Amino acid sequence: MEKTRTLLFIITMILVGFGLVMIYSTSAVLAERNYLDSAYFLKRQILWVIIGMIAFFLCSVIKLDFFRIMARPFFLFTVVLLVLVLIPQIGREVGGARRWLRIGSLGFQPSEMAKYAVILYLADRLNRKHSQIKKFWQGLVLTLVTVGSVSILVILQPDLGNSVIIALISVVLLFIAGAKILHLVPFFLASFPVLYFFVFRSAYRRRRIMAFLDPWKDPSGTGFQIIQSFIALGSGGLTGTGLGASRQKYFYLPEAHTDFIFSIIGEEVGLIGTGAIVLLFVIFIILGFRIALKTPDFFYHLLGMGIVCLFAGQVIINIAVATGCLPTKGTPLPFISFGGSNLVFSLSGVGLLMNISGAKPKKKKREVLFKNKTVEQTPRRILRT
Amino acid sequence: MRVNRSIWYADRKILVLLGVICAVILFLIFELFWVQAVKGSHYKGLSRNNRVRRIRLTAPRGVIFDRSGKILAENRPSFDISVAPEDIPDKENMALQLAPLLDMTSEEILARLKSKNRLPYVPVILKRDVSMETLIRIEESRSILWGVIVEVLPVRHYAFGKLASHILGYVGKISREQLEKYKDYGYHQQDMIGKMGVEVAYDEYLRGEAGGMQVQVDNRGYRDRILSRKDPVQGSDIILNLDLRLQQIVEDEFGYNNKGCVVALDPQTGEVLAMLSRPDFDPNVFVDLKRRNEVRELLTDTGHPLYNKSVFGEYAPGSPFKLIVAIDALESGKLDVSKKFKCTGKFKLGHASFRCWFKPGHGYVNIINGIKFSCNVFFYNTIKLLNIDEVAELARNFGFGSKTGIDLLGEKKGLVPDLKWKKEKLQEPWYGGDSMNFCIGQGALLVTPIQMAVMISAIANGGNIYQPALVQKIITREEKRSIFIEKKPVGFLDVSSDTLELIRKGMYKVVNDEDGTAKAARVNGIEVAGKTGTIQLRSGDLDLTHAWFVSFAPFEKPEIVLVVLVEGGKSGGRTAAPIASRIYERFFDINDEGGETDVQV
Repeated sequence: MEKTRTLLFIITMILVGFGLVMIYSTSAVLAERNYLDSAYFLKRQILWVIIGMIAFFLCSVIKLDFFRIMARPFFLFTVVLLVLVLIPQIGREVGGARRWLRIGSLGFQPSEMAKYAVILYLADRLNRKHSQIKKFWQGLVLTLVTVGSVSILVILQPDLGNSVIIALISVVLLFIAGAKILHLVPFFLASFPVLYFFVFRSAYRRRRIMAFLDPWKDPSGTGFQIIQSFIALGSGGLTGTGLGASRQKYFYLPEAHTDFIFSIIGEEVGLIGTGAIVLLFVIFIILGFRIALKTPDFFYHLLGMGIVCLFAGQVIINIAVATGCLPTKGTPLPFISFGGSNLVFSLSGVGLLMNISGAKPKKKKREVLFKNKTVEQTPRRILRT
Repeated sequence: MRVNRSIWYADRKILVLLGVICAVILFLIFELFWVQAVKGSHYKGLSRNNRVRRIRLTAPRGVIFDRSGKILAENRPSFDISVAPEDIPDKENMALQLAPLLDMTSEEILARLKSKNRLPYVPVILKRDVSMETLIRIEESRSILWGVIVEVLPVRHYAFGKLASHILGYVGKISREQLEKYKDYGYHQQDMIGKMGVEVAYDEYLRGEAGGMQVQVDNRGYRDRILSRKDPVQGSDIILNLDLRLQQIVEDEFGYNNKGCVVALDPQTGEVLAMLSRPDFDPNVFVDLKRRNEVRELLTDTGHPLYNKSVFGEYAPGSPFKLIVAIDALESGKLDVSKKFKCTGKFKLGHASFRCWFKPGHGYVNIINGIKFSCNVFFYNTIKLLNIDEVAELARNFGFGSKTGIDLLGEKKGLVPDLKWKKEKLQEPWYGGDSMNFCIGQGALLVTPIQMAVMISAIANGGNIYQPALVQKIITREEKRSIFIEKKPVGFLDVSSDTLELIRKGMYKVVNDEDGTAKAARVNGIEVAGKTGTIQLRSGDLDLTHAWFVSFAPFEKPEIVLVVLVEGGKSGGRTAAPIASRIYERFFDINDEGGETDVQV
């Protein structure tokens, strides 16, 4: 397990380091123009890395039972923040979406926090109410109502990308916890009209979907980003144009340092670079699975699985958007995209994974402490099988 | 432990999940491989080859206004006629048709079209900036002129021609050296860039951001579709501190045949209200292709019309330097108002004899009359009491010998000599004769007119040294915010207010007393205070003199500092002072119609 942890940490640091390099490369021109300081975004991101490393450290050393106890208060706190951000006087609006809370000079996105709040909450709830999971009303509907309300608060910002991720993770966790697939089907079906309503209600999303279906129809308008992303990835070829030599970042590809950073990576370091990034994420996910599988506690197991699936989902959605397999939506690439909230929570997530991997089975501990009580203290999980 | 592990592994749901994730990632890897490796060359081609043409869209430069919002430099459209040779079926015929319209021969046109250097499918420019008539005639015969393209480019236009040309500067194609230097800032080979004045000092704000268009063309060169377009962003507007009305007055009253310069500052802020340098030039010649020949004349003119004398010209300060000597004498306590020296018109130092400019002599003079008469002998006596290095230090505190920091590039520093300087530069000790020259502002001393204006401002405002500023604010177009150029003193003179009061009194008498040296500068209704100076050039023609008049007004509450320098002027009092007088008269006259201001708009 020690090896797994070390490798996980090393991969995380490689990704963060590479992210910093690419953030400087993609944002220098923009930063020079807007802030007269080419390292403007780099400096901010470095500050966030420092904050993220503190969060990482805390999450990896604080006893996991603390998180278990905090799961419900943390969930409530997040709901409060999600409501606060919707209030016009408090939430800051950027580009038509109210997603930001300001703390000093730094912005903070409660929806990034919501993903972890939901994972923690579900892990805790599904662990406690495990016996009811197969029951439709008490087990499933109640859980989905609480989690669904968070998802709806996020969609109201509007932040469709994150709310879809929250819904996906919830379904995955329910699935792992043993919910009947037959029970999940109605929710799956019910989500379609909701999605349809939210997508086609707002004109810009409808246009994005249409652009996704045929980007060349309006190449200078809505299809612009997708085409530019194609051109960036394509001109990179196998080996790329060289670090810093992207032409697309100059002004053709918007959001080059945030949601579309992967395309510029593709242009500057080619298929070799993008392949390496995907490979690193794949190893990361496998290591995460290993950790979540080898843990002795069901809560830890669910928590670990939730975090790993969250990473997998974000990576997949980001790369799928860059390669035109999904419609454009603002989802950052974990560790690499510019953006503080995502980085801090991603590093916290890695911290939790490390923490889980180090967790000793309770049974063993209690064996030492209360030798005669081992039988009664068998973890609940065994009862399940 | 072993049991636990096997249970998790046995969980089929986890395997399903892992399988789904792996499948999706595999699909994405395949997709990446497809876009980058298989279709890579296609997209690379889209971006690199002729199939996608990147067309640069030139951004209009920002507009330059005076302080009251009148336009000094703007943009006008230039109509360029070009043809895409690939679109023309019969080149000879087209050349014959087009030749009379463009005032070119058909051979010339054909030669351009067949030039080996041109890139395929890129339109060839035949004539830039054609007249409206030509344009109309071309539009009329559009139906027979296939493949002729009219392109509109923004071109700089200076609304007032020569007015304030040294402040505004001019623009031109980026030079090879400039391109090397500024490449990283997004400059491009064909870009126009500021070459002088505000145009170059604030180029990064004025130039805006070029747009671009990616156009896909089919294999015959027709524009297939526009892949992307980024509109150019016009540069930021600049509002100068310059007062157009005052500038106009200064230009009129300086005399169109005189050489020299005028600087007008606001002594309370350092704002440059007007700045003139003669001979001057019309910046439009650098833009207007029909006036190309005038550019050459400007560049070879021995009078150096492109040279801004107020900032680049270094002159001996002459008598106005006596004010600094007087301040040091009063501050060091070596002299007070009661102390008098007798001027007999001559001053003996060892074997040498130094003359006062007034041969009969001024008789007994105190410090106020010393300034009023500009009596050399008084200051010869004074400098003998003083420490040269201390006077030089005071002069430096006034800003002499260093750049004032005005927002123009390449400002000159001038020179303040002292004992150490002479020893290092000339390997000679400082002689008594050097002191004599020094105290009347001659010898090695050199100042620029703008430094002189800063010094007079400090005397007028009670000791604050301001950094002269041409630009008041920059209004960025994208974020609609204004960048204000800060106006705060960069230095403060440690001189008592009594001393400055005395100096100002002396300057007042220079103008307003019947026997003052600048009584010609008197203006009815406005109290002007000033100091004249007449300097002799050391080398060359002995007769050559320059005339200074430095002044501020109104006396009680100074609003303007005016420095006038007339090259070849006979005397400060008789040549430069009357110019200042006329400028003040019109500037402060509320009834002044300012008729000229509107004529050229």
